[in-house]
Amino acid sequence: MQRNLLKRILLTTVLSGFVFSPAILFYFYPKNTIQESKPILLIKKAIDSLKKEQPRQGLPIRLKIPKINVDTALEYVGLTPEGDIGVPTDPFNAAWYELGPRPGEKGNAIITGHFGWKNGISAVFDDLYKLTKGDKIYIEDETGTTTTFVVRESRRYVPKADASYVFISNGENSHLNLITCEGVWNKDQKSYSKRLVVFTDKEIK
Amino acid sequence: MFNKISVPMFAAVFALGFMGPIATFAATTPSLGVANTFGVLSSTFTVVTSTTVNGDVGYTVAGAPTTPPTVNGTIYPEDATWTNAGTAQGTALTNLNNQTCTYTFPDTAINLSTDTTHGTVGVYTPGVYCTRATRAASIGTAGITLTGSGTFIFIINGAFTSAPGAVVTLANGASSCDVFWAPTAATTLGANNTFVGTIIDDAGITVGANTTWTGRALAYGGTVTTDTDTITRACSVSAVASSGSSWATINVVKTVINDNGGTKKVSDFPLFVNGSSVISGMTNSFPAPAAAFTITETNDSNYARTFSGDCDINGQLNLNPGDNRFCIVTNNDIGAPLPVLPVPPLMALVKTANPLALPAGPGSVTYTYTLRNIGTVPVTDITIVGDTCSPIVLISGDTNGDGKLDLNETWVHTCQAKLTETHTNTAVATGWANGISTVDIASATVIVGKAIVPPLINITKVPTPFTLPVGGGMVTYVKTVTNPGTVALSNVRVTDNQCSPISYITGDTNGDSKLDSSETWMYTCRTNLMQTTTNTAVATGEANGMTARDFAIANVVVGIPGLPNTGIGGTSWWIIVLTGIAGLAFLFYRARRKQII
Repeated sequence: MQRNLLKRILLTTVLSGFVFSPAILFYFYPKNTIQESKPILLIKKAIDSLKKEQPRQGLPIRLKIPKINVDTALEYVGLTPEGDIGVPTDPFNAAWYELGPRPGEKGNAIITGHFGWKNGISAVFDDLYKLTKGDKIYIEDETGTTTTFVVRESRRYVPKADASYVFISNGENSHLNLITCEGVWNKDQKSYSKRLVVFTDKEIK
Repeated sequence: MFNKISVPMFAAVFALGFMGPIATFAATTPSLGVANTFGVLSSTFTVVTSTTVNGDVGYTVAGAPTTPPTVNGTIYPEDATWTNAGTAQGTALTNLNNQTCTYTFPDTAINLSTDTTHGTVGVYTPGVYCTRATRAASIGTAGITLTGSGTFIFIINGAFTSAPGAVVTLANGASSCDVFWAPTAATTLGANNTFVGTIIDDAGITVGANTTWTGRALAYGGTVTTDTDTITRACSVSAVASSGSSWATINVVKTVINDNGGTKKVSDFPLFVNGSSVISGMTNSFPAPAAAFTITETNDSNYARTFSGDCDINGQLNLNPGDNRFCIVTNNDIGAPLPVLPVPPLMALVKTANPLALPAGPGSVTYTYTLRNIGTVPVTDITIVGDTCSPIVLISGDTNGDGKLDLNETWVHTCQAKLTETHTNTAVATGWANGISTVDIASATVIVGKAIVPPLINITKVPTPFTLPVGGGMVTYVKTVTNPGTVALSNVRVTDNQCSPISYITGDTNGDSKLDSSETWMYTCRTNLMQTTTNTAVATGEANGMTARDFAIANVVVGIPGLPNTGIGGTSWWIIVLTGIAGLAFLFYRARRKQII
């Protein structure tokens, strides 16, 4: 009887482990990594209006950063309900913030990418911190044109920091700012302790 | 009035071909405070025969004039105002004496009309001119000319005298309200003088017969003696000639946006033109033609700066003779977003001159400044700076007396000046609400000596909405162009540095393509804003061979997104632990099973 009971307990534990593992996996998957890929109607209108303005840079489709072996497709994101910039649904993709300028246009274009994921399996911006001044970043757009950006500096912010410097720039120049996370994972807030922003400037030929 | 540009300094700059920042010792006009409205302030006021004072008069009871002067102002006989004016006189004198001499004369008594050491004989550009210790100064029969829109200070460490018939002439934008004489010994002006400026001299001021003086005799602790003279304290301004002149003007206008919790004000950003200090809203004269004037300011790393108006994005502009150029500098704070977006204020300043022309020659002009709130929030801390007219007096409009320009209020100010030449007067109004400033510029030209009516134009611009949530969106600007003058305007043009195309909607009721005084022309423009934006619209119109120009500056506040949450962490360890437990349990189960079998 005791053996049977022990067997049942062990069998139940094993089966439970297999049954609940996916559920737990999805539970801990950060919510805002998958929920905000659909811009709300108001924002869409703004984008439609933007698209009417001419001339514009082509829509970005691919990001390449040879130094850290990044060669990835670009998703397009807007804002979360909290007013934060959205992030890609796929951890291996990066995402362009489509409410801002396109890479190569006047102002600060923004691209976000994940950091972390599972041990041993890299997210797209796991090595973003390795970029240093002078490193090059390439953006391919829908027309096949490649625009080159050069790293100027990196800055680290707390998650709710003033981000205006990231989004606002003076003058007529084009910039591309890459954003990801780093620091210590806070399981309650489902967030890392820092945001890493790599500031780049369009290469002047 | 507070012009600070030292022309000799610029001459040096050009000679050296060096356009970078340079040390500045520009003269500045001190505040006269309560004493500003006085034509004569004295302990004893002695009037020989008669005297007319267009301004307030103060004296002690014991020192009252036995021959009453004609006073077009208020008499303050040894009362609190008289005392306060005396204190203000002392403060102004201290200010003058503390200013750095831009030129010190040789160690001898100086005849300002014949001195050759300071520059062109008889001609003085803005600056602080000092005599050596105990050395007197005088104005000879040849008189002197004060040229340029700036402050002229004469620190005379001795007596000050003028010869009979001496004339002090203002030229190229010089204003009588920016001329100061500070002798340490007595002042004696000769008969039949035409004199200009404020004399502060407690050692006594004696004026010869039949002298016309545009300025003030301030001798709170001393005696003022006049004889058949006229003293007028209202400003007299000379024109900056529009043709054949080697001068042009630059007016740097500052606006500040604190939409992220900043607290800086206009005065926290000292402004410079080619390294020389200037004050927001004040018109400054410069030699022209000249290239690459650069506007700079004392930077604050917590504020982003943008240039608009006549400046390019780097704050640079070129000058041609007769130009009146405006450079608008916007500082937007960088900081954590506020929980609620602050609504920016907006107001409109309209300026008119009466009369618009003085065909018979020099005369008095009354400028009227009408200030309206065209935004959605009351405006506080309102200041109006007129470059060549002082004081600007609020006549009416603050109906509830709360000091705020409310939505339904129209504030009317006036200022009187005596013009000797054709002159364009500029006023800049600044107000605040919710940590954001609003500015408007208004200019009016008065023609002297010709029966030509100059054009006037006004533009206002109202954005809808004033604030946009995070991510930005569309804004519609409605621009309203009117003609406050009397002559119809042709070739009316409207441009905007942040919005195009601008569409004309309606207004030319008689279809003659001219903006008549009775017409209001409406334009709209739509654009997408992704960040807080200051945009500057410019309207121009032409009549009688002249072009009138006006600016409209509006802010729209846009929320800033938060940084993305790009982290994917914490799941892997849970999965490893869980899988490990499950795996161990399975192995244990298999082992036990084998034992059973």
